[in-house]
Amino acid sequence: MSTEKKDTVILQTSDEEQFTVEKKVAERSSLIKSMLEDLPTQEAIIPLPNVSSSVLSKVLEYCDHHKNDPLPPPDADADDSRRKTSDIGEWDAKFIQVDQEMLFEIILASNYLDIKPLLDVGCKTVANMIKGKTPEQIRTLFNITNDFTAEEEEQIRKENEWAEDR
Amino acid sequence: MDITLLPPTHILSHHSHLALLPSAFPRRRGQPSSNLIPTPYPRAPFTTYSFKRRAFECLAPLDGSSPISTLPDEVLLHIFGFMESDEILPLRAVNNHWSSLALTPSLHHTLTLTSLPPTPLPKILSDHILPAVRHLHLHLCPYPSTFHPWKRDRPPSDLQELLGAIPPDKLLSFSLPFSAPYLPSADLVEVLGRVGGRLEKLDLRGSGLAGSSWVHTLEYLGSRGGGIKELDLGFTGILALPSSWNNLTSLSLASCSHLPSTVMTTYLANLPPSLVQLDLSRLDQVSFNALWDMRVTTPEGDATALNEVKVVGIDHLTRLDIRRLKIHWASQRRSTNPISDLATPLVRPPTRSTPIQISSYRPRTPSPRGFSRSLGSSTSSSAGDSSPDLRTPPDWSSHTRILNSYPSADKAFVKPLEKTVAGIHVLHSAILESEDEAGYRQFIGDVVGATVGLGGGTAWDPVYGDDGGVYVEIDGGTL
Repeated sequence: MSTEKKDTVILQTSDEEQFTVEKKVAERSSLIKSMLEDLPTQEAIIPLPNVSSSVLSKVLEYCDHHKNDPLPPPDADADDSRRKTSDIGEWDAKFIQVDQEMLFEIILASNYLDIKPLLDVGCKTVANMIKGKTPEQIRTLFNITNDFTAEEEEQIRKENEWAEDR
Repeated sequence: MDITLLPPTHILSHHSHLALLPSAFPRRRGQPSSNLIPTPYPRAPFTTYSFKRRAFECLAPLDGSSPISTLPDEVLLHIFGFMESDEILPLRAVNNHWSSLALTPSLHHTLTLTSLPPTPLPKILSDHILPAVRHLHLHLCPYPSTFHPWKRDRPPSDLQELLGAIPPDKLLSFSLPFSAPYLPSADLVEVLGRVGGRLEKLDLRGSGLAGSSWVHTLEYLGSRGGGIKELDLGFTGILALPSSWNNLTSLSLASCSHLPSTVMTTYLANLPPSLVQLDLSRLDQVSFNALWDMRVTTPEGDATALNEVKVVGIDHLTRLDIRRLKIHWASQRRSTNPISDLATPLVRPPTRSTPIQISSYRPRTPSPRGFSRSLGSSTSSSAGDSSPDLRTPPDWSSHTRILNSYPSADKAFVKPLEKTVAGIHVLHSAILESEDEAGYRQFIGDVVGATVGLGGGTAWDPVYGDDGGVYVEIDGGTL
C-alpha cells in the first residue's frame, strides 16, 4: 500500500507556509504517520495548526538526520531505568543548543507531533539545566515567579530538610 | 590462553566478590570516595549515581516571558522523570505549581536510601513517597546499629518505623543487602511477610536469614503478583530452600556455607525450569554428583532456561570435571531432541545450488575468514568443495562451537540451532586439570607456559582436542 503512495508529503504550518517533505522523514512523527494511513489520497496537504514554520524547519532537520533510525518501541515508557539516563547523543546535543523560546517550542511541537526521541532530547536537556540548581536559580533561569508566601516557603523548606544534600 | 595475561578487571568481573569491593557501594554526589568512613548522623539519606557534566545552558528570555510555563503538566512531568528523587524534591520550593507536581506518584517509583531518615518520619516520605515506591533499595552505610549499640537485640526504632511505613504488598523490588548486623532474622521475615506479596526482585545478600523457619514466609513472596523472579540469598546462614519458586530466573546462593549438601542435591535435581542464572559460588558442599544430576531438561523433554551456572570457588572441581559436566548436560539436552529433529531446521536442502551451507558442516573448525565468507554470501555459488562434504556426517560439537564464536552469522541459519542445543555457560575457577598425576603435570605445564596457547589437547579430551588453547578458566561454555 505504501508503495503506491507518493514519496513526499506537504505539511502546512500555522503561518501558512508549506513544506514538501520526504515521506520517510515526515513519518518520524507518529501523528503524521497515522494521519497518512488514514488519508489514502495522493495530494493531501497536512495542516499543522500548532506549529510555526521556524519550529517545523528545526524539527524536520532532526527528523531528516534520524530518518534511518529504528523506530522506538511503543511501550518504552514502562522501562524505568531507561528514563533516568540523561545521555544525549553528540549530534542531538548540538542540535538542541538553541535559545529558550525555541527549546520549549521544539518540546511542544515534538509532543504535539508525537516524535518521542525528540521529546526525550528536549526534556533531558531541560532536566540537565535544572539539575543541581537552587530553587532561586531555577526561578531566575526560567523567569518563574515565586508565588509562595513566606510561611509556605518556610514550611516547604522544613519538609525538605531531611532530604537535602549538605 | 593464559589467564595471567587477562586484565584483572576481566577476571574479577566474573566473581561475585566484586559486590564486596568498595567500588560497588553507592557513591554520593560531591563527596570523595572516602564516604565509607562513618559520618556523623544524620545525613542526607539519598544517593545520586549520576555524574555531573556541564550542562548546556541558555538564558531566560530578556523580555521577562517564561516559556517553560507554556508546557503542559504531562511534559513537565516527563522532564522531571529524567531526574532522581533527591533532585525532584527541592523543586517543590520553586512555586506552588511545581510543588504539587513534584509529589506526583509516578516520579517516585524508585527510592534509594543510604541512611535512615529521621524520626518521626517526615510527612512527605510517609504520605507521598513511600506509598508510591515500587522499587526500594536500602543500602544503609554505615549500619544503623552503629548508633544504637545498646539495643542490638532489636532493630533500631527508626529502621522499624521506616519499614513499618512501607505499604503492604506494593513493592516490586526490594534490596536490603548486608542487613545482618542491624536487622535480626525474625524482624526481617516479619517485614517481608507484610510487604512482599508482589515482589519480583529481592536482594537479601548478607541478611540475617538463618535456619529454615523462614522458608514459609518466602513462599508467600510474590504469590499475589507474577511470582518472585530474581533472588539473592548469598552470604546468609540459611539451612533450607523453599520448593515453590516456579518463576525464578536468577538465584544466588553464593557462600551460603551452612546449606546442607543433601538440600543442595535435592534442590539442584528439581531446579525450576524457568531459572536462567544460578550462582553456587564457594558452595564447597555441592558435590560433583549433585551437579551431574542437576535438572537441565523439563519433564516434557525440552531444555530448561538454564544458561549460566557459576561454580567459582568450589575447590574440589577440576577442569576435567567442568568439561565432563558440560558434555553431560549438553548430551542430556540433546538426547531429548532426536537427531533428525535437530538436523531439519538447520540444513537448508542440500542442493547443488547452495553448497555454501554444507561447507559449514566440516567437522573441523574452518578458518574464520573462510567461515564468515561461507555464511555471509549464501547466494553466491562458488561451488568448489561441496560434494565430498555432502557425505561428511555433521560433527555437532565443533558445529556449535563455530556458531557460538560467530554470533553475528546469518540469523535465519543460526537461530534454530541455538534453540535446540542451548549451552550452559559455566563460570568456574578450577585450575587443576584433574586430581591425578597427569592433571598436576598439565597444571605445571600451563604455569611454566609450556603448553599455553599451543592447544595441547589430551587424549581424553574429545571436545577441546584440536582447536588451540581453549582451556580458559572463564570460558564461554559452549557445547
